[in-house]
Amino acid sequence: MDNMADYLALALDGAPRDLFSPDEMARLNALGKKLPPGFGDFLFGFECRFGQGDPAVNLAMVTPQYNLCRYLIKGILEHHLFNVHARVNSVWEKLKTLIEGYLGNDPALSKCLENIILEFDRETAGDDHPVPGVFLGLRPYSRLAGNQLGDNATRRPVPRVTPGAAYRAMVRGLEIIGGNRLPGETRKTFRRIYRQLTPPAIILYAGAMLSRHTTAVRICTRHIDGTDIISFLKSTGWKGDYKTLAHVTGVWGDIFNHFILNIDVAADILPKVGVECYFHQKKQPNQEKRWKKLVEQLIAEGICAAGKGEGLLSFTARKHFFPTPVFEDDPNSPTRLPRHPLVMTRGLHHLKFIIEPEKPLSVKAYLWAGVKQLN
Amino acid sequence: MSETPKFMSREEFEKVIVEKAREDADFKKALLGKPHEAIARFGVQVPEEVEIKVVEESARVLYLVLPDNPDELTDEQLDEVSAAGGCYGHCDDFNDPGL
Repeated sequence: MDNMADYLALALDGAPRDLFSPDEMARLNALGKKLPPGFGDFLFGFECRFGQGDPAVNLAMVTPQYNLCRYLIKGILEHHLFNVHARVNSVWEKLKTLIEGYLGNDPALSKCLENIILEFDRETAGDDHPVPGVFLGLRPYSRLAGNQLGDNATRRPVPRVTPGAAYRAMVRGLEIIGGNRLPGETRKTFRRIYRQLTPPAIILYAGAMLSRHTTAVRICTRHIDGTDIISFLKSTGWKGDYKTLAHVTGVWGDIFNHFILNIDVAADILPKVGVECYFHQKKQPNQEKRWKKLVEQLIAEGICAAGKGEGLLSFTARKHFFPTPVFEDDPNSPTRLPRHPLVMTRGLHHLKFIIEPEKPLSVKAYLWAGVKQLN
Repeated sequence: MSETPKFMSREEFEKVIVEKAREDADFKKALLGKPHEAIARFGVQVPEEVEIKVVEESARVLYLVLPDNPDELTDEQLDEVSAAGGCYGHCDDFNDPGL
């Protein structure tokens, strides 16, 4: 694999065309060719807008967990495609500094960051050196000792991360990637909000949306239910559309199990907010019947095009791919290099409702895919 | 997306194997007896942990293959596939805030 395009092609093989039109596939292909193949070891995310005539697909890549990713990410930083971008575009250079810090050069970052997400907006995918949004995933921070927190995937004990250390790591990471100190007002609001989040609610991600020409910081909070979202936003003085927000948390709150609130922080919390909605355990439509009910309801409300809804319900797949065969009669040929099959798995992750003043409620679907060598 | 596909779908790969087995009796015998070794002759190594069952249909024996069902994947399997112990949005551990 020479670049990410090959992996994206496998990940989206046979994907519903209503979600991934030929134009969108071509755009993703062009973007993938500019990215090092090492990203193929990451989890991919696809953000699909659901409205009719709105074909946008954004691409996200999620680093594996800290303890699994060192050797993977190191290879990416050394790849010539990464370094071409870093030489020309300062964002990539800063990204390199951030990732090196995360890998151990900066103890504050390596201790507190769980992973890093790069998100490429479709509008910038055609640029020679596309600028990603960068999201910093925090380890769960709490007052408990580290060994009382469990990591569900690896069952390993995780180091203790205090709320103060988590906050400092977020600010430090954002300032590295932004190249400047956070504006004073933003920092002040951020600190205030951080304190106002009532346990068990915590910040899961903090992000810099570098391609969108905004200095606002995107914050994603978890362990917050529908009612708490409204009371939390009221406590912060948010001046947004409470009526639509109540509709989202009320109507959709009965369907979903969990929420993540997305807010953009500048001198104030910006009026546009997002509410991510999840089912338990990433269950897919065949096992989680609420997906179908949900899609029907979204179509009925006029915020989801019918074809896209159907595409969503048929996106889940697992497929095997095999290296192009080279038949040799001598199975012990010393020139032969082992080549392994790949398995691709993809599925639905969550939906996000976007509440924005003067605009109708909209929804995006978040899909994921991973490609792994079978060896 | 790439100009020269380096990988082929399972269906395409199976077609190559079946054609080879039809024209080469030795290969067919090897395929039925030791499928990993037979497939390795194509330069493709399937891990031993992945079981391969090769069966032959006849006029009186038909095989129906039920496809893999990704809906039945566990979280652990999904994470393994992505090599990402965490996940896009950390939704695995919603049930256990740990706080």
